[in-house]
Parts: sequence; structure tokens; C-alpha cells
Amino acid sequence: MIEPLTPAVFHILLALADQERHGYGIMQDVFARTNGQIKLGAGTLYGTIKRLLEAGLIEELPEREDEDNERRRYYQLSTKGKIAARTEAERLENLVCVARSKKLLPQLEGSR
Amino acid sequence: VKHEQLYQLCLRLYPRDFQEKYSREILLTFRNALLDTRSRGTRFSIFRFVVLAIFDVLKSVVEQRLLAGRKVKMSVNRWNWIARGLCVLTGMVLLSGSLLMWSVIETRGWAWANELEGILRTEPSMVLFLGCMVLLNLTSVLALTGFLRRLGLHSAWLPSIMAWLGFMVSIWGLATFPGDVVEPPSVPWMIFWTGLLLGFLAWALLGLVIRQQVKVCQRFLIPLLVGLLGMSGFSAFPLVKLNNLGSTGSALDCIVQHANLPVFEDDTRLFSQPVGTLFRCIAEAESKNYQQTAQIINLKRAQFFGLQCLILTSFAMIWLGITLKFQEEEVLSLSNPSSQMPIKS
Repeated sequence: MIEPLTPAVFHILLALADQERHGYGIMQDVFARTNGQIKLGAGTLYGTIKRLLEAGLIEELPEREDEDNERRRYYQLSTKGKIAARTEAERLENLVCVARSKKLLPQLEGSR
Repeated sequence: VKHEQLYQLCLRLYPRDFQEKYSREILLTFRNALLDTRSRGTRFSIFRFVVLAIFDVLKSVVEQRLLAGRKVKMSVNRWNWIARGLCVLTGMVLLSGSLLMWSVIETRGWAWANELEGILRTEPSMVLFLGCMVLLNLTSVLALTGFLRRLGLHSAWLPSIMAWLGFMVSIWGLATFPGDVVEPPSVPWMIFWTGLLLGFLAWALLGLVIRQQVKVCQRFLIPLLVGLLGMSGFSAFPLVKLNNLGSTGSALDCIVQHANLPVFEDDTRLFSQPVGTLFRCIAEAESKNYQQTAQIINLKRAQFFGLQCLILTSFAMIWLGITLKFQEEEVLSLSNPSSQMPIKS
């Protein structure tokens, strides 16, 4: 049985889906993507990152300098993480489909 | 800078491992976010940001501390359960025993002390006390060596046996302690204090062994230290045997007469006085060379202190027993914490 991921976990996986990022980069991406609705705190962010690393969903890259010349740790999605993110996205998609079939959401143009 | 310092202080609350690995990154992230907020925010928004960031860290600290506690990986076996049960049992017996002992010393606040006085005033209470001590010794061997050996701490045998021997010797010394005379050079006196010293040393050594060798045992360190503290204070307890109520009255008369202190009708009233008054009493008595009075008052205070420390030890034992939770393996959950179900991907 697959349990839903927490929003924080899923957003971090999404942030790392297209490119590797450091902690603040992840935070900014989540903030921008959710139109400022979700702002991860640094404590929550790194607590979640630690758990994701332990679960093997993300990988840590060697430290390197960012654009501000600060040495930072970068993270990237692992294969397992990609599967987990995809599974979660499919789960959410299925939920949306159910919502559409129940007419809670408007039908898509092509599916009519 | 002040915000950062405050934030840094909060970061120190994380478990050491987490702190070493992530605190720099968290601080950098906080700094970047703070600069962002400063560049486009008002004073209020900066303040709000800092408060929320600190709250977030504190929440995360609790989470990480709980996770660190859960990461005690250990197979559950019979010995662990026996150790755990014995810890709790000993703590409870010690607690009830010490409360009963407390009740038979004339204090205010224990209304049932008088009813029990006839039963527990003398020998039975001491037997109960000695029984508690024996149980404590057994527990110190079983509970400590038993589960520490499971952690590969074979060196814990030595301090545990030392603790056991120490307490047994102490009990022997206590049992043979002279009833009403303080004679520091006497053999029972020497036996008692040597044994007790050995016991304390053993507990301290045990604490060091645990601290240095097993990180996962950090959570047991606090109850062990509390126990050690309690047992140290408990050393005042044999002074119960030196209780000499007969002379207290006349000594108090002296105080009342010469030191112009509040009138104490009897020694029961004396110990229902605030601590400050007692201290003043002692100071006055000492200043007027009423050494005997001062000693008696000090003895009484020592009794209370000893019993309070014993109660502290009891709680520590119960606490130790309750915190002995070993898990077969750590299950990492990334799903909703409320669901408590692990993700399988």
C-alpha cells in the first residue's frame, strides 16, 4: 500500500524534478510555484531533506559555490525519488479525475 | 545580526548529529530568506518572518529530537522487558516506601502520619526501607547490566557490580549503625560510608561508560543522573537513626529563651516552620554557641533532604523504566505523521 506523501515532501521532490538545487533554491522554487501559498521554513526544509536522504529519495551532491559565492550543498532527485514523485502525481491525478467525474471540477476540453 | 544570533541559539537545540550536518545550511538559508524579506518588507514583516522562522526551527527541533529517540535500534528480548519492569517496580516500591517513611517523621501535611505512627515508626519501616534498597540493588544489576550488555557494553559489568556491592555494604553498615550516637571513627560508620562512596563512584562510572560508548543511550543519561543525584542526597538518610527527639525540646527552649525566636511548642512545629526560619534558627543558635541545637536542627533537615532525594531516585527509576523502549527496527515514515504508515515506493 502506498501512502500519500506529505505536501512538504512532494513539493521538495517537485522542486528537484527538473534540476538540482540547494536548500534555499528549493525554498524559493516552492514559494514561486505555489504563488507564495507555501513557504517552507528552513527547519522544516532540512528536517524533510534529512528524511528524504535517509529514504534514498534524493541524493546529496558535493558542496560547491552558488551564485553568491557561498559553499552550499546541492541535492538531486534519485531514481527512487522520481518513482515516488510520479506515483504521488498519478495519485493526485486520479483524485482530480474522480473530482471531475463527480462534477466538482469542470470537464477538460478534450475529454468531452 | 541579532536575528541571526537568536536563530543560531535555537539551532543549538538540535541533536548533535543533525546540528553538525545541517545547522550551517539552515543558517545560510535563513540568512538568504531574511535578506529577501528585508529587501522588500517592512519592519513588521521582518519581525513576523523571524518569529515564524524561530517557531519553525523549534518545531523541527522537537521533531528531530523525537526521531533521534526513536532511532534506538535494538531487538526486544526478555531481558529488556525484565529490566524495564524491574525499574518501574523498584521505583514504585521505593516511592511508596519513602513516602511511608516520610510520613512517620513528624511533619505537617501528612494527616495520616499519626495513624501509621504505631505501625511504622520503628522497625517495620526500616525493614521496608531495607527491602527497597535490596530491590534497588538487584535492579541496578539486572536493569543496567542486562540491557547495557545487549548494547555490547560489557564494560558496564564492572561498575554495576561495584554499585551492587557498594549498596549492599551500605545496607550492612546502616543495619549495624549505632542507634543514637554519632561516632565518626566507628567501624559501622566507616563501612557505611565506604560502601556508599563505592556505590556513588560506580553510578558515576556507569554514567561515563554510557555517555562515551553509546550515543543512543543519551536519553537514559538524564534519569541516571537524576538517580545519582538522588542517591547522593540520600546519603543523609542514615542520620534518621541519629534522631534524638528527647533533647530537642530543651534545646528549643534555649533558642526561644536566648535567641528570641518564635515559640516552638514542640519539634513537630519546628519543622513546619519555613526554611528561612530554620536557617535563622541555626544561625542564631550557632552564634550563641548552641551547637547542640544547631546539630539537631541540621539532622532534622538532613532527614527531610534524604527522603526527598530518595523520592527523586524513585521517580528516576520509574522514568528509566518507562524510557526503555527498544524497537525492532526504525521505520521511516514520510507519509502524513498522523497516519503513522510507512511509504513503500
